[in-house]
Amino acid sequence: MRSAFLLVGLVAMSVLVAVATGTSPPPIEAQGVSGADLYVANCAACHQVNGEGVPGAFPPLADNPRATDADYVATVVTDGLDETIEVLGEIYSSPMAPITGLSDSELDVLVEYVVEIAGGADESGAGDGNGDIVEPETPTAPLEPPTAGGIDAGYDLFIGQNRLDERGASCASCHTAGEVGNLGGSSLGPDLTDAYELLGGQAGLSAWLANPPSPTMTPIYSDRPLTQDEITDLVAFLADAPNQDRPSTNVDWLVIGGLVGLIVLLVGMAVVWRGPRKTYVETLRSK
Amino acid sequence: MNTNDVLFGVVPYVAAALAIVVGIVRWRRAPFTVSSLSSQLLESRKLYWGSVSFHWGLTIILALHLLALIVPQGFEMWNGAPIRLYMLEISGVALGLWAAFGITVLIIRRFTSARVRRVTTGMDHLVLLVIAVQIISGLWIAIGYRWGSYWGTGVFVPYVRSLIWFQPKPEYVEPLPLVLKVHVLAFFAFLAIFPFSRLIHIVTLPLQYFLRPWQKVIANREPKSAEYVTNKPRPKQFQ
Repeated sequence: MRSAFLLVGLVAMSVLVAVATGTSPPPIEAQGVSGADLYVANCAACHQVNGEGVPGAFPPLADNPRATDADYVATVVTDGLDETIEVLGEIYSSPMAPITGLSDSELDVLVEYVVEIAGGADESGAGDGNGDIVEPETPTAPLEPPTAGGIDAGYDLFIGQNRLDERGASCASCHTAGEVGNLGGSSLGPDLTDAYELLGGQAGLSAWLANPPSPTMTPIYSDRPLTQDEITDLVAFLADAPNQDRPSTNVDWLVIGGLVGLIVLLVGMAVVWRGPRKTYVETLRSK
Repeated sequence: MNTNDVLFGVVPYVAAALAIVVGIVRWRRAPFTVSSLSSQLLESRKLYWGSVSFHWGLTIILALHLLALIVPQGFEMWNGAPIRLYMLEISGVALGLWAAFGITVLIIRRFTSARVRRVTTGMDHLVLLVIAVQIISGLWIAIGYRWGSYWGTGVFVPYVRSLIWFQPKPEYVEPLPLVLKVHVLAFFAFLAIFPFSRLIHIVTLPLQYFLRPWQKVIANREPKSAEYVTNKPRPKQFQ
């Protein structure tokens, strides 16, 4: 009998694997997708469609000597970049997340396109020292505060008190920032208290939010983008976040609350449920 | 197709196919094996503390998981005010700890009670292991990657729905921390062993209880230990 179950199971398994693999959408092949399309989908949120970047936040790719090196571009695309670099006289320190989900042929096409807009397709020998990693010598000048947007409106959007127009998940689902939360905000994603500075102020952060390039956020927000007004308010809130006081959380009230709940439940079991019923034999014995 | 696509795009269908097809075959071919294989008659005191905690804790948590899948907007609106979010999450942790307490008692019982050990199979151990992994990883996520009831609506609801509509999108899971992946994979393992184990009792709804006349079950023999090891004097009425 048991072997019959196993046999049926194996047959069902193979049928379903066939169905599942057959119904999943076929992977996008690089043959049908141009480098420009891949660039717009994966790079343009930060480096901008024309490749000029956002000064102080995201380095330009156009005329960037580093980006003429195909191997270097491929490494940055697949591994991301977490170093301070100098490009065309500007210093950039925003981290870049790795771009996932590209096939090998798509990567080749994309890299070729980036090298082309960097002006390196017909040149050989880049690396003239213009792209070296540098330590910022002096602290960069404090960023300009945002020119528009409401901090309170941004806070309400952040914690989900007001929902995003396109019904994307609220920021606080995964992040914390500034004064959010007595028990601490969510800790799945990074703390965004310093995001305004890290992502290059109003222009950089707005560009980032318009089309979030992180692998976790892309699938969530590609269909449900933030509106321009929402971005403006959120940027205002995040710019203010470093100045806000967060209640100290030395004690983890989540764990303590959970333990108190457990004790209440166990006491309830002891009192309300009265334990296991006696068997008939036990009833007889006690007489 | 990379490892992530296989684990989160193919394995769920394999597990679901096993659960449904083998479950139905077992129900039709061997209906009397569709049972929880209760060991209550062998040992009932530890079972009460273990089983009640475990089943209630887990069932409520599971129901909340399913509810989030059906009405994620409701969870997002509820969680929009921090105080409500905290109430929900603290209740969730309390229920998770309740289930963890329950399965701990059940595991101890399974290994320490001679009578229960006598009827224990390898599959019973596997069931306990898979569910223990499920509960521990769940608590770990709830405490370490708070607030799951909130980000779950953005990350897991679209993933599970993509599975249900046969258009799997495993890329939702790929960038997540390892313990979240373990939690998901443990559920697929749970589905896969479901039809081969006592877990199949989940689908037995005792509807006939409402229709049949009541009965009283009476054992008229002294309950004996598995190996006649008891040193207790026999009660008077049995001498």
